[in-house]
Amino acid sequence: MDLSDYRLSAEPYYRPVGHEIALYEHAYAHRLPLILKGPTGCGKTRFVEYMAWRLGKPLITLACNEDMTAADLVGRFLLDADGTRWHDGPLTVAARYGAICYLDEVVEARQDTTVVIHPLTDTRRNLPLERKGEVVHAHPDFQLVVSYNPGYQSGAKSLKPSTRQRFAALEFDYPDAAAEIEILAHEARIDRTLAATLVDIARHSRALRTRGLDEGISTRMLIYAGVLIRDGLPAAESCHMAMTSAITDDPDLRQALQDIVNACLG
Amino acid sequence: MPASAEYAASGSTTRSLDALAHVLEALAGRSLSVQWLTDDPGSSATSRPILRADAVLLPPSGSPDQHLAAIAHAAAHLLFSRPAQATGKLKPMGIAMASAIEDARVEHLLIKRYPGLRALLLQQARIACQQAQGPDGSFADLVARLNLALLDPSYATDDYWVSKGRQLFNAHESSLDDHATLRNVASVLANDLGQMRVRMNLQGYAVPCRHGDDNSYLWQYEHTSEHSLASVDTAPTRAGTPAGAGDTTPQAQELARYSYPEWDYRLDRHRQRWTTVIERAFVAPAMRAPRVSIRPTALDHRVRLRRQWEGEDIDLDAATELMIDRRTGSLGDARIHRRSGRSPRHHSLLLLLDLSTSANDVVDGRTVLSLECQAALALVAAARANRDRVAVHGFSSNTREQVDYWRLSEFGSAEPAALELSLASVRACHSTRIGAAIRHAAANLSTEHHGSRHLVLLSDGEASDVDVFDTNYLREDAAAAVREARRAGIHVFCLALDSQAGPALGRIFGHGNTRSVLRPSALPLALRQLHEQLGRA
Ligand SMILES: Nc1ncnc2c1ncn2[C@@H]1O[C@H](COP(=O)(O)OP(=O)(O)OP(=O)(O)O)[C@@H](O)[C@H]1O
Ligand SMILES: [Mg+2]
Repeated sequence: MDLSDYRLSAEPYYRPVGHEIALYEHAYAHRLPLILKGPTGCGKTRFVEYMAWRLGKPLITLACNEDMTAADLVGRFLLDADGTRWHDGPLTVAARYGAICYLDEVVEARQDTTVVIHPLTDTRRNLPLERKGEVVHAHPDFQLVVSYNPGYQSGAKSLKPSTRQRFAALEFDYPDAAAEIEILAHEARIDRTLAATLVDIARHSRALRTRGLDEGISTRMLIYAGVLIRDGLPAAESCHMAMTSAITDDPDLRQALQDIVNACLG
Repeated sequence: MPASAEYAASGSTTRSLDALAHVLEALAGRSLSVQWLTDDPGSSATSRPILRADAVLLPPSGSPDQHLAAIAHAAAHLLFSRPAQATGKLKPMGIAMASAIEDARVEHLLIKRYPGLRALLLQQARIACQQAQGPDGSFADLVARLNLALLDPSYATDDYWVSKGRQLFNAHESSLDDHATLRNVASVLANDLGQMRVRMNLQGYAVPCRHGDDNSYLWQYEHTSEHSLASVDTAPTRAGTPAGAGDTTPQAQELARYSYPEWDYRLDRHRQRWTTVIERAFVAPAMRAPRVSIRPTALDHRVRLRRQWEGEDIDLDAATELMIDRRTGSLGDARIHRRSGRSPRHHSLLLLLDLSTSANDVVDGRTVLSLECQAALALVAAARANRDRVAVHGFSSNTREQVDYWRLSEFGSAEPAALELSLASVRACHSTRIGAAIRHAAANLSTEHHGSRHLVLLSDGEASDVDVFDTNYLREDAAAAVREARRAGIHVFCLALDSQAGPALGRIFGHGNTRSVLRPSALPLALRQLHEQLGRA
């Protein structure tokens, strides 16, 4: 099978924030499965894209959800005119043909779904397709990477220890101010002064995490706001639309965030 | 954006105390409680906010903008002022002058940091000028005009003293961090006023801007009596006097005694029949609400039933199997649909309150206990809306012989008023033998058979009791009790009400199952979120 659709055609922009690139390369050298932990919109997906490009491997991404079954990962029989035909799921494709498989928000999947990755993520490196009666031996290039956000998950949702202990972890957080300004200026194509002001707002919002805000304003939200401002929308309105009214439904927090936006904008 | 933009008066957006406290924390990076000032001796024209190390007290009169400006001003002091300075030989007018210059200094620094606040503060300074407390040329009038002149370069004045003040201040524009030289500016200006024979109305003077605090934060007065001693409207501290050993409130009733084992980590085994849990309640058992049977609930799209006779989706796997079966000649199972089911996911949730002495601690101007109670009511309301079954119990302990366990409300009880009554009567006292309480709570939960079962502990401290000196002992026991409960199929979770307690409780409950709520005012929200998350479990 041709995985060229899954290859990144151009170098994704990634601004390193620590030595995560080197760490990832070491992990990949040994094909260690990786967990990327970190708050939403802090650059995990972008990082994996960048690493896939850098290593020259195809990248297959799948967002997990509660309704997902093991068949959605490994594949199922489909019907066609001549009878049934097996259709590989994304995980099987990645394992069979050698891609990096990225499962986004892996805790969203039910734990009984998640266990199908177990044989792939230990020394066996294989994937039994029970229904089909086949065992797929992982291609040497195959690596599994999953992401999750430890912030707002409660005990109600987490990884089983037997899943968790199959992975090495890289922790992410929002980049420091200088890096975040650089990223924002680049991604939203706005000047650094404006980027600095927006980043300032985000930092203040993150201080409200102890006051009931699930997550502070993410780098992603900043980019949205920046793009709107670049488009000519007034700054306060852009921030309101892309950040304060989007981030929370709590009226007090929203009011506070709006006041903070106004205070920082000037 | 032009810096001179008029502040777009946000007129109708009132801000709650919570919202204001959020803003203060974000601006100043410090967490203070924000409360209304009651019992204010002054009239609304002269009453000013009060800034303390732990709280900002706001006069409830005034516009929403004025409240926000007061918060900004308080943030300015918190960020840039030195609190409780000695007044030394300063006379009242000298103090007032030094305070006025300090107010201007910190507001300037604040505006540098948050340019968007300029318009807001300027608006307040203008209002203060228009509504000066004294006649033209009086001290109050001059200070109000100086204050505006310092904020607004376009403000035109022909008053010699105001112009001089502006010049002196602007000369230090670049060194506003330098607190001492600005004190000099203040004393020069105060001197001038003395020579101009300007008098200050000692009794009636209040800082010109209504959003500015009374500056008691800045000074260490010899006699506090001269200054505002306005009291704060705190939640009734009914738990203020811990009950004496052994006694309980009159209406309280002992229901039963139970004994439980306790885990001794040094022996690596349980000590049998080691603790005595004494169940108590405020209502007679006969009055306990009957169990309410579960009504059918609404369709829940999170529940996907597979292999159904009919439904809105094809169950791909079932359909494929059916087709394969048909082709291979067997009959196959024709149930190939998926549909949303009625949620079997009722939860039974037992909220366990830590009623030990530390619940009498005052945080943010209210006792932890009153906060726990508020949170309990919020959670019960949320759970009821979701048709979950909730019970609220509480505990404290006074040695292993006496673990008091309060049944404050029962599963299925439909009476929020009854819970409120129980919560109002409960007292916090003694210690925190978490393990025994968890075992008893888990036993209570084990009779609940509807859907998943959850035990949530609300605590502000570590496991401890007066008859145990090894700090690890009760912690290990509690951890064992949590493991036992989990083995029995109960989800156990902890909300820590104190940042210090968080890690300790985390060791008992597992870090993924502990959430620290550092701001007590964030607790009700955290509980509601917790409840929603249980819904997704
Ligand atoms: N270090 C970085 N270098 C370049 N861009 C970044 C970086 N960090 C964040 N970004 C930008 O932020 C955006 C959001 O990041 P990304 O989508 O990777 O977040 P995420 O951590 O995967 O979030 P989620 O958990 O919600 O999926 C990216 O599209 C990218 O523009
Ligand atoms: Mg992502």
